[in-house]
Amino acid sequence: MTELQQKARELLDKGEIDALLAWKVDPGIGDVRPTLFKKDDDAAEIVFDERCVHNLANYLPTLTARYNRVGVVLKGCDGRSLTTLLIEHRISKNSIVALAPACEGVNVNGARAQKCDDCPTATSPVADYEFGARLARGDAEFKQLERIEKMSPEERWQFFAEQFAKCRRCYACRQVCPLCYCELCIADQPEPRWIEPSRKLSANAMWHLVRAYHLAGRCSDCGECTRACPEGIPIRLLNIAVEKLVREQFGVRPGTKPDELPPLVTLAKDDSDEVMAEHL
Amino acid sequence: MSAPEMARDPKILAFLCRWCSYAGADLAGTSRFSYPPNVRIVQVPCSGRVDPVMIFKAFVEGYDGVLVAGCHPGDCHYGTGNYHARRKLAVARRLLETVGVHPDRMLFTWVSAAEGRKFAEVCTTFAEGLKQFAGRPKTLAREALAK
Amino acid sequence: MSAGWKLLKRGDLGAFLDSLAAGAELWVPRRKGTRWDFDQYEKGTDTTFPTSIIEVSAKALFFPRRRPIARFNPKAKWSVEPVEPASEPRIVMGMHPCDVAGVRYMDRVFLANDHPDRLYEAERNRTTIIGMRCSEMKPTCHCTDRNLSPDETEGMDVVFAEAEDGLLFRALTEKDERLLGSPLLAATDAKPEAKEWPKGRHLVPGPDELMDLYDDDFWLEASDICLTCGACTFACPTCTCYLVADEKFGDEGERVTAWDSCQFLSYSRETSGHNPRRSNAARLRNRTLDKFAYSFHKHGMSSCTGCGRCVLICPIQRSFPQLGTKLKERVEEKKSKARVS
Repeated sequence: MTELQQKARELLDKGEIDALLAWKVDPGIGDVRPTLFKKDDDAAEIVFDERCVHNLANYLPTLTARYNRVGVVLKGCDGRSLTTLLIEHRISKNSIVALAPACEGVNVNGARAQKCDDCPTATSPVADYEFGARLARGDAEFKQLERIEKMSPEERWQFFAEQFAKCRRCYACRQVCPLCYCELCIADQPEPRWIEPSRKLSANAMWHLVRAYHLAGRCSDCGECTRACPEGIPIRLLNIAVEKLVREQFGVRPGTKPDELPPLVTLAKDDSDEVMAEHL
Repeated sequence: MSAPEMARDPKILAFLCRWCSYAGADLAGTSRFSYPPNVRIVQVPCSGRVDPVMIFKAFVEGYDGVLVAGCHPGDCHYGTGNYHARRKLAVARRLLETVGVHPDRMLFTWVSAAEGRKFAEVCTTFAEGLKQFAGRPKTLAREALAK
Repeated sequence: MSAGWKLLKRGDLGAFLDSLAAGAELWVPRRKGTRWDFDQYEKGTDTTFPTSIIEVSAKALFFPRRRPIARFNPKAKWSVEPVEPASEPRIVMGMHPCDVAGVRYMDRVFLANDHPDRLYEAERNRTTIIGMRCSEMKPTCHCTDRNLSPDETEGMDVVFAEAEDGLLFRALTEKDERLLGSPLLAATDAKPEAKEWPKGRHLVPGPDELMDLYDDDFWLEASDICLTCGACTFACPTCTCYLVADEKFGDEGERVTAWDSCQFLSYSRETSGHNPRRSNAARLRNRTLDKFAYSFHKHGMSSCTGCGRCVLICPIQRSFPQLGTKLKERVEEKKSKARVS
């Protein structure tokens, strides 16, 4: 058994956690699947490799409501989600036990996920137990934005209009995101109706803009939204466009520091004034 | 369905804070400084109240440009509302520009209660700049009903 | 009665599609980026017919994702005009048997009641379905467990299949024989290859057994990792939940129907704030029972066609039909407990 599996078995046997959220190979689908392990389950079946794309932090609010203490295996990006969930008091630290293996990156559709190149924390920032050395990572370059940045406004709209037009409004992106946890999502509010429910281009664009804004300074860049999208819309581009600004202007990479408040909740009197048209 | 185009005068939605910029706009009026007629004003208690979702919605509703004006840094009636506004507006601009809304369609600035002339000038310059979009489809605007 | 098979040589496909498009709107599968969808045929374009299902079912061709049903104008004395149904003849080519079964189920939902949906009816009446037999079953396909088969032709007007040197066509009704009157099609003794199709991939308990599990804890555990995102309902050929909304355009407005999903948290939320299906478990149970029990009671047929799109699309590979295996296990467990006590 690996160290991770051993620790998992130990925590479950001793009753330190009531359940452990991890991955298991599902022979029926020939892939891994998020699985809730209980005391009677075989911890030797826990896997952690490049197939483990899912962000398990997403399930923590529901699971911690049902169980006293939940163990969870977290990659770096998932750990950033957890950090933000803790900072925002969505869940409390004493209801979870974080197991943090060193993550070498995951694969989506057979190729290394783009987000892995921009990852600042390959090991979860919140970790009760770590496995493997903390891997060093460089600063994010957000290379995927270069293509957009080179486009004129008309070209950008042409690109995004084509993408948004595909949106089925299935909200898989929202459901798979740990930080979209509003009881009543703005998209479901009938009064005032900010986002029309039908899939007109303008309403679809509104949905994606609003979601990106609501994640500003909070998005852990786990990339799940893009992977879950049944239409292949590059949702992550909007999130990293905002993340780039948040890092450059507010000096924050969301979820990397457990005691750092989200930048859109705090303020600084010496923020850059460049967004204001003072040259006029 | 196709995106509507700008009519003769650009439609501008202006979010003005009650204590500074709205008073500045009022002063522009009483001082008889003229500025374009199609500026529709929404008064908010503080520029910090302006939610980027409202700015997105303004474009969806067909406005050609959106103006947000608040108290100068340090002068906010509520202390720090305008600092929050500055952060939110920075994110809003970045998002809108990323999807292709032309930067000249957004104007964020500080206007104090005494700056009637400045308010009129800002609106005039803004509207002039928006005329470059005459006859071009409005990005993000709700589609017109097919006839 | 139906005639024998006719062969269309591979090189003549373009010309044949052109001839079909001359008399009607022709819809065929088209690759858009990394995904397939149904789209209107354009003369001269290369068309391929995938031998198994594409990601998108043809549901939207009969039941659009967004559909205006009336226009209104408050400024013109509140005039309300119903939207006129489409009437131009249309051919949809390349639907597989599971997709066609989905349309047959939608017929029961939209037409077999006191107030048939006139817009849906118009789409059905103007459409001829040239369905395609599958040459292979994807690993996620399980139509054979849903009383269907990759060779099923019920609901199709014309059927075609891959053959060695082209495509084999057969009209299933007399009136559709004229569609195959083109000189490009030659009568032939050849037939599509008969195949043995695997069964038993995804068995599900019967409707009554499922209803017995209504109050079981099974749903709580089974919904553990479900995100209730709704992607499965949008991919499914028989999910027909929709909402009605009024959307304004300046001074005018449209009343539209738009796809909704029972998987959304707010789907059953009432004005008071009460939500009878607030939990993931309740919503998963609702979808499972609707597919495998309620549809039997209401329409006499399962609404699952075994297309497997729910598995393909699920962000966490939930494998909705695999639920069936676990359900069967639970049913057996209950039975053996009953025997003991």
